[in-house]
Amino acid sequence: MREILTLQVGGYANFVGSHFWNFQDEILGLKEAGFEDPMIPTHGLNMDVLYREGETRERQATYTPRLLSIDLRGSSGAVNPSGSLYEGPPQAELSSIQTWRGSAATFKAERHGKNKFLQSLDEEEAEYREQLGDEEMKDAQSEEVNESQRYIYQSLEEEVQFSTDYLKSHLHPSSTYQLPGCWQGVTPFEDYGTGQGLFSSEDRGEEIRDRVRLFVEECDTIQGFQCVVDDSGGFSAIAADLLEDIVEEYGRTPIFLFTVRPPRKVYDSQAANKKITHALHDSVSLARLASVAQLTVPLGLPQLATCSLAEHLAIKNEKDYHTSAVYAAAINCITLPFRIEAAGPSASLGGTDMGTSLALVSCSASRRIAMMQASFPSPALVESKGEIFYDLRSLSPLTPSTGQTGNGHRVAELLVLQGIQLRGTTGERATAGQVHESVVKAHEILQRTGSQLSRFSHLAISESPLAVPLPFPFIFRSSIGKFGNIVPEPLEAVKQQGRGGLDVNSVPVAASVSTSDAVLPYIKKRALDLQRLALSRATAGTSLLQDWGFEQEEVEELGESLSNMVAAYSEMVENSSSDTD
Amino acid sequence: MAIRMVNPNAEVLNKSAALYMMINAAKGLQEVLKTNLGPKGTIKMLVGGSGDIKLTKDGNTLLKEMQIQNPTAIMIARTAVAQDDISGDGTTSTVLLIGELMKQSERFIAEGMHPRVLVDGFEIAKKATLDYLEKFKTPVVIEGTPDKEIITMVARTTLRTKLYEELADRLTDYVVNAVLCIRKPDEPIDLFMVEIMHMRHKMDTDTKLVEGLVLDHGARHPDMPKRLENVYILTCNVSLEYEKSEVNAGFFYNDAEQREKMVAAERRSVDEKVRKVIALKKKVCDGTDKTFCVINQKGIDPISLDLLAKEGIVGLRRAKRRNMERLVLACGGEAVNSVEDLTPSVLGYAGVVYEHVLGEEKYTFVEGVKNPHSCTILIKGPNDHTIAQIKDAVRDGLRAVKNVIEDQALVLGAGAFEVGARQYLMNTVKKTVEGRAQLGVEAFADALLVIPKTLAENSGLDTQDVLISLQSEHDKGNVVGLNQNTGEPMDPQMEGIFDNYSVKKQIINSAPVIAAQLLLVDEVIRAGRNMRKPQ
Repeated sequence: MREILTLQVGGYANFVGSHFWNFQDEILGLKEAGFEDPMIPTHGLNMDVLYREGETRERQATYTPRLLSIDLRGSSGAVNPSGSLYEGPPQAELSSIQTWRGSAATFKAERHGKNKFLQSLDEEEAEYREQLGDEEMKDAQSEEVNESQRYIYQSLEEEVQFSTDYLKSHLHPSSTYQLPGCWQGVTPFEDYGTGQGLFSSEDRGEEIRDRVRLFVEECDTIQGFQCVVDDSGGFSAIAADLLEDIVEEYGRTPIFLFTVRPPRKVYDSQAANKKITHALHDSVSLARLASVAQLTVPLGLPQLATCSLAEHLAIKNEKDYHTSAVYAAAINCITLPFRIEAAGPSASLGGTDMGTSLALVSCSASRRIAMMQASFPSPALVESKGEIFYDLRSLSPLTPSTGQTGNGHRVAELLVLQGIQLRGTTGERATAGQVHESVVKAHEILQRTGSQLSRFSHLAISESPLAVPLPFPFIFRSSIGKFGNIVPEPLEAVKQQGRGGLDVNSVPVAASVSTSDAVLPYIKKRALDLQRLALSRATAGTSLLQDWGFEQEEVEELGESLSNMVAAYSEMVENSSSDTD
Repeated sequence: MAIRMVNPNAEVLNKSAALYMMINAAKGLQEVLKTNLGPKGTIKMLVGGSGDIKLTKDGNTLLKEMQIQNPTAIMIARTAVAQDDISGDGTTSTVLLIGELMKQSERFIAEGMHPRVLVDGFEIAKKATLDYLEKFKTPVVIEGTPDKEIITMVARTTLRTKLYEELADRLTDYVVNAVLCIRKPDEPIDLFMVEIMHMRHKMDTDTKLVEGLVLDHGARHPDMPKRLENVYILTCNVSLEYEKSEVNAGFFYNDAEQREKMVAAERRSVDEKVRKVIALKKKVCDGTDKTFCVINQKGIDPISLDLLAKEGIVGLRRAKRRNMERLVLACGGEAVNSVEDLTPSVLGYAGVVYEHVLGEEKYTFVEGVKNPHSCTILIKGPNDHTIAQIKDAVRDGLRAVKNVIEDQALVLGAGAFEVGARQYLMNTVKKTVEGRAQLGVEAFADALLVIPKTLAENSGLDTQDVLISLQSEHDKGNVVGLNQNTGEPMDPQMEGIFDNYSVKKQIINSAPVIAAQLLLVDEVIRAGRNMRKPQ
């Protein structure tokens, strides 16, 4: 087994995570259905990589994500943080107190109501329990989509407040850790300084460490840690401390880190008093996080809704429920190779493990920051002048400040294509072999036109597209067909409205992670900011970092590690340009 | 004004309004915490927005569970929580004393007195009270074998304020024995050497002290024995799993054959390490009735587990970092970082090692050890919030025992110290103070009474009656505390009610400092909306 432990740290990371686990849950559902959906084949995917088998006290078997999600108190909305799989809801009755014979009092916070979707999950589960004895269960999927169902999913568009509001999976009781003493919406948590020292104080570090250990101990041969971190606030500090601790304990086990933030938290504001704080936050976060992970992929465009990736999407920047779905799809796609069965059937190609692919992409220890590109939905294969190829230029960046598609010199790349279609109009799937050939062809064409290719690259192909789960935000434009195919003539009737999981069943996705000098501006800005605001002279920035608990020496170390990263990528530019001479 | 320039929306409160805001916040917090105090206090069940439950009778836990927004209240709460970090208890008392100091001050300030004068009086009173504490404390002899009985009394006093009597008394024995077990002469006590493990199972009364260690994981091989007797324990931090090395990762190979070779070489080196462990086992166990158990901080992969299982060895992987230390203290031997160091002398010993399974959770008990310097308190409870509450209480009990041993002193409880100190301040100290600072001393003295007053109130007694009878006993020269059942004065020594010296000292030290800070605030800038609501 090649187990992966997923870590989600921070509010937005958990928004991304909920979509990610809904995707996995959809695949589990399809596998369970007992027959292969010809449009969404699921064989060749090993779900045990991400999931763990367990058993409740009532000896009921469980299958839950191998996940540790860290967030603030009160961030789980209406859902009990210890889940409902292993234990029923706790009894909030004073008579149940067994440790005190004297007087007792109850203090109740206002109860978060369950939204319609969560209520429908509860009902479904209750029905399922009742029907267990019956011979046959009705397949809800095959029924006509009724209006009430659409209403439930539609209502999520406005109602989603917490990442738990749309999460389908049951979680293990140890999977959710809410930081004691830090309350969502009460405790200030918007910059690095607010999270500094929290991990190491009181019992938090010890408790988190214990939970990581609990999941790792079960693994026979752990493949790596897949981390999604919300780096827009105090969670940067917590994640950096946690990952450092993991490195100390688990040594060579690789860490694949995605830093995510919603568009509204990408700081390019001109508000003078926050500018320094934001700039230093970004610098310090990157310096600390990137130094612990094998590979760090920064995600978070300031304008996701209008970026080139969103050509066929109707995303609202201000809705975390919307934007996180895109990042989740990209992360799901790029991590597919780690779950593809090594000796699987030919439906997939290029299964590999995390350590190998991270070593390939990062090439050397100093180039640990990579950019991500994706297309969602991915276009079908292109036929032109008798050649069939995949348009690699259709991938657009999700990493900020990396300019336009295809920019930069790439050294190494991991490219993953899932569910690519042969012809856009019909939604007919291409086989893995066909996709492979078309990528090779695309490389040839690029070379012919004088474009630079990555020196090292790994290609993984899965025939199964992204199975769009329910619920999924209504972010597809009407130009997208049932199978994620891009239809030329938008259907007039639904033109204005976004389409969700009821209308679009599956979507082809492409994603790539590459070390490229296109990330240089991203790193350079942070290195310069730290230099300018905190190192060059005693300024407001210097005292701010002191408030955050950094000694002058530590700041210098951070500065050094950032300038080393800058150097590593600048070197790359020189090397490449000398190559072409 | 400069401040307004920074944030034009900030409101500046003038001095007296600021002061009343401070006083109100302190009183508000006092109001919330006061029902916590003492063995007659109220336990609180906190139900969160998602239906999650916390159970607590501990001021410290309660403060952490409250979503406090008022900045004054946050400041007080931080001081009180720091109090707990330093001495392990006394959070509620600190908050009560700060609140009462503010209340008493309010009276004088309303009459036109300057806060500065009051604060000067506080300072004098604080020093005098600390002097009084030195005279008042009961010394405890710790040299050689400590007086277990007197240590037990302080642990019991603490635990009876957190848990019902029978449970508290049982746990008292455990925490006292646990601390005495890990204590080494002339070394500071490291409470981390007491493992606190919990099981969601049955009743709270099943909680027990295990001389040895309970690990929260088990062997990961079906053929490994579930129970071993007469066991050699190997504690190690050696990777027994196949890991890819950096050079071994992917594209550095020239061909598939080379790759295969490197993989095989890696595997061989792991197998070699396992074989060394097995060789040691054979050396010490063959021909005897001894058995062998490996507890590893690093991983053990299935192939290695299989090799160990074939030899009847129990292998546990990924043990807690801290358990490496605890195991050596409990079983003897030493923790090994390399297979090169494997000799019979590094092995520890346990009478029995057995596995206990509850659903998907596995526990391994390492018991029957000789001269342990580490042990485990195993807490059982029907649900998580009950377990958490018992755990908090056990931690407080352990701290109380550690404090006595380190303080080599105790303080008579049940309000006896506070009443004594108050009478001392009023009858002796106040007269030596000149001018209006006298009033500060008086305010401080009266504020101390908040402890017996609250104890009386929580027991449903008339506070005035209680205070008068306690004070008159003290004036007669009798040191008495409050009997919370009868409302009569009683001798805390006879009843065995003792508090920690360091906890008391810390309260007396920190409360007046915070109160002074709050009183001397000139103006408060309000920038957020939330600050307007008193907690």
